[in-house]
Amino acid sequence: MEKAKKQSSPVMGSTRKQEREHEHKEMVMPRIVQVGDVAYAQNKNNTRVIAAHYYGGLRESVNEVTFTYYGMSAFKITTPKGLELFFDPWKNPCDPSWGGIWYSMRMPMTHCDIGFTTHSHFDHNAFEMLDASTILKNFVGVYDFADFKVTGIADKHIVETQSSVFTQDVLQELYPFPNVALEDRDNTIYLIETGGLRIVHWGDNRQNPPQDVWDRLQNIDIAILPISDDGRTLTPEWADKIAEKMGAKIIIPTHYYMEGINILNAGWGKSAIEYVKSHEHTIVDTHTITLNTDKVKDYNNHVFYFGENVPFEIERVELSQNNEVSKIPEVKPVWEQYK
Amino acid sequence: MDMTKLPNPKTWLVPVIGDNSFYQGVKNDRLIAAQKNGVIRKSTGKVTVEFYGMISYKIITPGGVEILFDPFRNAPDLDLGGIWFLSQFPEVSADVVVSTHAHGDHDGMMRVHAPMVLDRLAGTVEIGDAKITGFPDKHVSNPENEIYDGRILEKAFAKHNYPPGENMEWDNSIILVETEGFRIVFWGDNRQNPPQEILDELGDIDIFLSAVSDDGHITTARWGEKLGKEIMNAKVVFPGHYNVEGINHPYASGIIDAAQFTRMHDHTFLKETSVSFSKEDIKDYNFHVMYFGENVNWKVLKWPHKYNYDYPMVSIEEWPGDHREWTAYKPEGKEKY
Repeated sequence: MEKAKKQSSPVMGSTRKQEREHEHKEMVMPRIVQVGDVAYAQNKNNTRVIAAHYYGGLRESVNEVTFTYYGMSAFKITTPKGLELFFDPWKNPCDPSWGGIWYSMRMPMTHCDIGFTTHSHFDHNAFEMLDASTILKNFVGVYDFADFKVTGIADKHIVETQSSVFTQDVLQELYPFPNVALEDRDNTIYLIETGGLRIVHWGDNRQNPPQDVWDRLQNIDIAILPISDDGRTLTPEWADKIAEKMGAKIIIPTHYYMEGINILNAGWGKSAIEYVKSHEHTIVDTHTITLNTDKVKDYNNHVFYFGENVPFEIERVELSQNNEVSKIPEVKPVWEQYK
Repeated sequence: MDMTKLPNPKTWLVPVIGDNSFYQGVKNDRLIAAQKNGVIRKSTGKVTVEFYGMISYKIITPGGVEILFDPFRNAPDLDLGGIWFLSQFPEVSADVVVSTHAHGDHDGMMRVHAPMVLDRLAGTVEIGDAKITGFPDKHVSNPENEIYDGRILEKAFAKHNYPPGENMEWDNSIILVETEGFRIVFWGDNRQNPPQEILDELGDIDIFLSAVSDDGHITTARWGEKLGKEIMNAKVVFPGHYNVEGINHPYASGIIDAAQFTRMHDHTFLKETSVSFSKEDIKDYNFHVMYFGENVNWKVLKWPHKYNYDYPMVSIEEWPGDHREWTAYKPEGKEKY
């Protein structure tokens, strides 16, 4: 009986820290009820990718790439010939004992042609929320289709953020399970080449990938980086270094706290507005921007900030004092219909 | 195995919809090696084919990239024809999992420990010494065999199952893998008559991983020969999507095996669970059927147990015995509290 009491709580929702000395020796993994892929329930079919396969696109090129922000690190990138690529859809953890509930809403089911995830963390891997023809999960290699090319560059997830807020100890407290301290969680950096633009989606990659990764990430036009003022993933200082190393013309911060989507203190607390203001910047008042080689050529480390603009409705609950007391509804005699 | 020594796992249940590789401890280290060096090992010049039951095959390229096709599972929704499999797909490792379409017998990706998944691929992916191309097309809707026709399939799934207007479940991607001069086609459950453009792009091939079984559930022997021999000039063909005792439910997803189809052509009944060959080894073959039969690359539990399952054959007095664990709560010096 005594022995049983000393075990870390197996109760769902428990965020009790495991005893540190055991965390590497004995990995306690949950048994999982594997529902897996649910694409059989999708309503759309693969007509659009078949068309892209035969015709190289879905429309005449508009010479513009469209970026739509979906909160967190989620982006829909529409190529000049109309192919919709989606990166990193988000959801709450399947296992609430992993830091509790992160989001106060679900990302809406979204149509795209090809879905990508950078790594298997819940704020990046909700591919079941994509009504997609093709899904490339944590993909590595060179993907060539229609009018775009995506290079998946395999590297590792960030471990030590060097944030003053989200230190190792805080992260350990927030995410006690599993193995947040292991240094080799995977991540893929995506390099998207379409419409003459070179776009990088960083995922949650570490700040210091090896040199061969940097060699692939040169002359970048648009860098989508997980930057927030609290440095939850990339601190503003590291973001600057990375953007400079890639020669990024435009930087788009993501992975920051957004009221109505992110739950406060579930691992994030601040937006990226301070970072944005300290740079040459454009604050976008919509969720979608279009860019092409002409538009980006004069920028250098210019920040485009989507703020809280996403293409779906965010429900913000206002909890204010209501002086009117509502009436109690009268009892409806449902039984009388059987009289 | 001493059954009395098995510990109860200190675990809790988590239902996972979608991606579960978070819980698998999968590492992308081999892919990083392929990315850096172009290969994972020094080229052997040989392609290895392993069979995992149903239509799941693993291809290992000469440079060591392991590509696993179409692992199976029981669909989470029992309305999709009930229980199809008597065994869970083994938790094997691979570098890449490829799924051709969203049916339970093809999309059990969550069972495989792999850092990368290509689901219903369209377009070309190059990784290591493998070039994987997906040709988006449609699932078979009229297999033209004696048991199933389009109408029965539509009834069994209670769903409109043919183009136009079908949903994602009735689409399929044909997969072409090119590696060191080999051209390998994995058919999935594609319809027998894809558009001529796709057949032209596939061209002549070396290895045809087909869905041919004697009951013709997906591809009949006649269509298999037409596709593999007459159209694609395959040198080697592997049957797939047939019944394996202990894996398939006898009344679902494949009723009989593919032995007859095998005997109809030049053939080899493989005794092993994997086979390797170089371009040179197969250069004189013309539609040579290599048949794994029941030789899958994992231990299948068959009923009654056909392999040595080490269960203690002792009487219940000896094992597990009457341990009376509740006596730890026995009050001292009296019968009841």
